[in-house]
Amino acid sequence: MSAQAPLTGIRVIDFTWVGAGPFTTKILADFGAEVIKIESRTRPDQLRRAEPLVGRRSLEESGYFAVRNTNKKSVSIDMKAPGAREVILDMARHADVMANSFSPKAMKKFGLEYADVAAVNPRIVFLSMPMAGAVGPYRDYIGYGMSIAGIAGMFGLGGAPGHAPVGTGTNFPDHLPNPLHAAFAVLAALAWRRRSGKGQEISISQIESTMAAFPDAVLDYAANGRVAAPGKAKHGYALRGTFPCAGDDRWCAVAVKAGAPLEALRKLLGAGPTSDIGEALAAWTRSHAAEDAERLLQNAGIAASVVARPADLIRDDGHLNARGFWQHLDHPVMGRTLYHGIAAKFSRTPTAYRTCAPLLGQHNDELPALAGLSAGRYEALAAQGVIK
Amino acid sequence: MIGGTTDNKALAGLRVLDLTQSLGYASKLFADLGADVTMVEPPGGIEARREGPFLGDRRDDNASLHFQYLSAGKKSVVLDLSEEHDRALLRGMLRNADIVLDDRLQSARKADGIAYEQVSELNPDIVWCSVTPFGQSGPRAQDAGDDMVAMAAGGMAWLTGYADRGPLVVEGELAVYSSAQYAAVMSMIAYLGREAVGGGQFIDVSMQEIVALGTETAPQFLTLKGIERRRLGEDERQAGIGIYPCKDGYVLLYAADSGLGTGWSDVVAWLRESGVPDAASLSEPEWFDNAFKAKSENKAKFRVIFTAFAATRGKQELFEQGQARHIAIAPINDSREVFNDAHLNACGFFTRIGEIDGTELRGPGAPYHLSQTPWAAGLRAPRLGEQTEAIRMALADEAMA
Repeated sequence: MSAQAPLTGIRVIDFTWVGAGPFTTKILADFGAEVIKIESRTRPDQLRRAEPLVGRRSLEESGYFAVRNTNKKSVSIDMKAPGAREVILDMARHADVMANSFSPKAMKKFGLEYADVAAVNPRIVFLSMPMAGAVGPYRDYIGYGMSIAGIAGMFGLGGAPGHAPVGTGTNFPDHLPNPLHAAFAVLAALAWRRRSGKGQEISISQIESTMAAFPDAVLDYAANGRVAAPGKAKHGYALRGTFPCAGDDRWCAVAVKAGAPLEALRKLLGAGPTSDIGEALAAWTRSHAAEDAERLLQNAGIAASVVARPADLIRDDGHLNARGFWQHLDHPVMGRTLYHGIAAKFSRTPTAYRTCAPLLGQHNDELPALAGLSAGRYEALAAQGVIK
Repeated sequence: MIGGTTDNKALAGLRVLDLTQSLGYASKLFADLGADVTMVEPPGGIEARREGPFLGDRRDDNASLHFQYLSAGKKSVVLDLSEEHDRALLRGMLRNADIVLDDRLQSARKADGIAYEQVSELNPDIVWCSVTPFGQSGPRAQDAGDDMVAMAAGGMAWLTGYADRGPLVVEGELAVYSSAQYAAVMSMIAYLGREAVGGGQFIDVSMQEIVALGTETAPQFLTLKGIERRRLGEDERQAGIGIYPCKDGYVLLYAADSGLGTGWSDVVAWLRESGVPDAASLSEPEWFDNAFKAKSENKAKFRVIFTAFAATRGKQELFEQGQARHIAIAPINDSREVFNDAHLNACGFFTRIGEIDGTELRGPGAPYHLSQTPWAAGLRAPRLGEQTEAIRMALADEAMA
């Protein structure tokens, strides 16, 4: 028997959109789950219109949407149309997971809260991951990854003392902390379902989830009343920062712990025990190309890296390409484009993507099978504009 | 065993061995959902015991708040892997484990006789997940790394900071926590997939690649549009999407009516109703075009108008009033404001995360709420080697039986 993908047989009905939610379900899809995105032409995933766009003025040209939705299917259902709810419930009877990232009132408006879905399928794992969770004063508040970083205290710790905070420059919580927590919770619920036979509801506040993987500043305040600020030296390090190298806007990050690494650095620079090691290193890096500085430091056993620009990341001869991290897929509108791959290699499970992001409604013709609809009912729903 | 369990621990019975120095957040995810997690520590203890923040001014091996947060509810076994006797004990533990989390190259583990290919002969169902700075293969596999080096090598540092200064890395070891989370997810996938795949497997996780996942669309902006994304500092992406000063700090506004963002018209209505000078000009049709809003003169024009409004209002007030209008606005909080936040406290988010010498510690609680199998943090972290004798004896009994 040939090996199957680890999550073969898991079907996910996916209402998530924009950032963290679609990356959660992408992880499931990339490992063999059948993930079916629910969108509509009147209310498509916002990400379909997000830059970088290739310039076709369509819903099928966003590089952002493409990289978040590999290996998924799309059916277009107008959730405001009468009859849409019943189609979703019919799909839910044969599904294992249902996921959404709306604020709590949206699923209530659809009549598709956990109780509604569990009534037709008690084995379903029902994930809701709005920004602020199911309860509390902010429960209907909305935001993006950067908003969450602001509320959770992460944004304010990016920057330099005396300057406005700058965060990470990205919607960081959308890309790693929140989808990874959500995926772990779904997988754990599936593990428990194997033993118990029962589904359950998972409720996530993306603010809380971000904070759980960003605990140290709050731990310090809670125990000691110390308020964290950017630019403080990390305990245990003699030196840590980005250093200017030869050329225009080239940098090398260097992290040196006290003890043996610091001694190795002093030896490399020929710096005596009383000299300012930070100044000595900066003078040294300025006289080296960033790549050379990185190699010389690493050869001396010191943790260092070029600050990689986007072009450095995707270089043909770079480390990431040597490991096969980047992938390319053909897309009917966008053509052959570049995708972030999977940050892990499995000894027995291939991690090459199977399909590119779906066109809106590309898999509508699978709806009769997915929802157990007769041909007649499918045609009637299409005629009524429920499926469009 | 369908229908056979009445327990409320999602991962009860799952045995996880954590061989890592600083990636304890991975096994914390397992421990807090009921798995049996054992840290294997060298004689001096793992590095996380010496990582800050600390309780008060203490810096001793029992003072780390960070370690308590990561380790409450786990077991600690001290093994000296330079001794064959202890290596044999570890092999015994590996024979019984479901998941191993590791941070070393396999070439280093092989010398100790505990590499995956050696252990999988004893335990073919084992899932071995290794997290290293650059992965197990490729030209940089041997390179040293840490959080900052991963953020630089993976392309995040380039995107962080001010336009006229060097790249930065946000405080908080984001690459380390994200790598730990990623390892936990990949391990669970392989664990759940043991039947489909036909046994366990080895997983090679690269911190650099995880950071690269966080670069958002930077590689695609380059390949699709020839635009190099870089650090912008406080300069907004476009008028209405960025950070703006207010009376007591900063707010983050994410307003647009096309593409990513929502509620531009609502922002304009808010400004107009508040009597802000020139706000009416923002209702002109060109202000609905993202390219127009990305031009620096238009960003500056909006900044003047919005800042005049925000300068007399606090960030929490702007947050609550803007959200009431369905505008994605958020405060830039510090750790005091976060810990005292009304919503997080109403939700009971902060909880006991451990204790040091009788002092109870509080910190972030559940990252998720599972209705049937609730998340629960352990009471405290184990003392160094607290379970060593118990596990030696259990393995000796097993050998006798």
